[in-house]
Amino acid sequence: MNQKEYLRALEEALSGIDPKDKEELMADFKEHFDIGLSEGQTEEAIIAHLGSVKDLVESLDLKRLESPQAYESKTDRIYSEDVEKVIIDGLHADVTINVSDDNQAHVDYEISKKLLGKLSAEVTSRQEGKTLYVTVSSINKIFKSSLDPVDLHLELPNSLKELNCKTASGDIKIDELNFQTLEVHSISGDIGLDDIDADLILINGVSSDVVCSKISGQLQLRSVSGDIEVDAHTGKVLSIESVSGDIDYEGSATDIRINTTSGDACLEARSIKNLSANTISGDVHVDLSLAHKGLTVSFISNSGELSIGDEDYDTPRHNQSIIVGDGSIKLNLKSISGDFEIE
Amino acid sequence: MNAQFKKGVLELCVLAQLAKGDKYGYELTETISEEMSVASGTLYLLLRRLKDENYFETYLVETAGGPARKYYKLTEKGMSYTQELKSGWLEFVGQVDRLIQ
Repeated sequence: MNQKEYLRALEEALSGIDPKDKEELMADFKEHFDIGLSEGQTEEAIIAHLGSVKDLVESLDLKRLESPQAYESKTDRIYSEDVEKVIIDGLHADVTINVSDDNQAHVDYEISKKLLGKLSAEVTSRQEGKTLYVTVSSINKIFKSSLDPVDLHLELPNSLKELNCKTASGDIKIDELNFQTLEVHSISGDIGLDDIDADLILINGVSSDVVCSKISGQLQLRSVSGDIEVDAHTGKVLSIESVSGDIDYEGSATDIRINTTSGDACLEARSIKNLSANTISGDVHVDLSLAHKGLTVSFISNSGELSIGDEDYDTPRHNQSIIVGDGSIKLNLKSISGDFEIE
Repeated sequence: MNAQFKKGVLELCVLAQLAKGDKYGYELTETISEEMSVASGTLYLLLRRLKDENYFETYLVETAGGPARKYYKLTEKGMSYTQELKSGWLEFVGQVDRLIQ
């Protein structure tokens, strides 16, 4: 075989791939021949060194090369009316979950694949009894960087006993569903819940921003650096822990517990009966529509200040009790340097 | 050696060579094949894929009387990816080393 034959065979073998990629590869091989020849090599020696066209083509995933969009899309569909519990391990996948119109569970996913190279992520699902497991994992990867992007979409029956969804970097979005227990965990993926009804909602994020809108049930949120925004919450109990993330809450909770290190908290909670707020340097602002309401405030701080309505209180040396009106709402406020503002 | 494994290592070798300085394809295949037996053709496919990931840019250099050469130059992204692969590899080699000693 000579240069001409080799290049012709190569061009033929690459006929299915994107024309631009083919053109570039052909130019690379031509250049290789030109330089090899100019350095005194024979065409045969150069070809022996390059490897046979057949071996080259086999080292590629030709099916993928031939698809002009250069991505791989797979769909998996699971039907069952018996799913009561769903456990998702989404890794880097973006996960969206909403209600199915036939009361069965469906799993769809799409893996986007770059040209040339083996698929590096897979999605598997299995059912054990009434529990459905959906798992995203990495394959064919020695080094776990740059996994192929995955979109995971679930449609679930309107009412489930439990949903547990976790990801590492993937975003999670859950809309219009009812649960007994909903648990959502992510490291860096953003978390969005909209129109959710559950007895208990647990959300854990590290650097994830969390946005919840129109949700009802007991709510427990934890975040390290991600911001937390809760809007139109209906439910009695609220607990939020944050290190540096800011907290913005609006809802009907009566019992509220807030813990923050440097994050600021802004609460609009007009049904509040009990508030326990601990902060190091974060400021806490509470709007409980003060007029016609009575407070019993326990306040302790190193250098933080307290204001209730128009009244300002100095930093207390010891635990300070302040009673306003009938004292019916209990506020327990602790800080190092964080300020409290009640109105 | 497992083919997939070899591919990953080859990727690291190519990137590490380019981290030392810009090279053209032929030069790179020569350097690699001095150390390991690999079909040079697969290197061009590998280079094409890595370019797709924006790990390097290419530029053409005309040579007097000879054929033009396409040089590969690592981008910032390629540099940090190379570092990542390299530390992954060193960690792996260390583990194997401790197990086989």
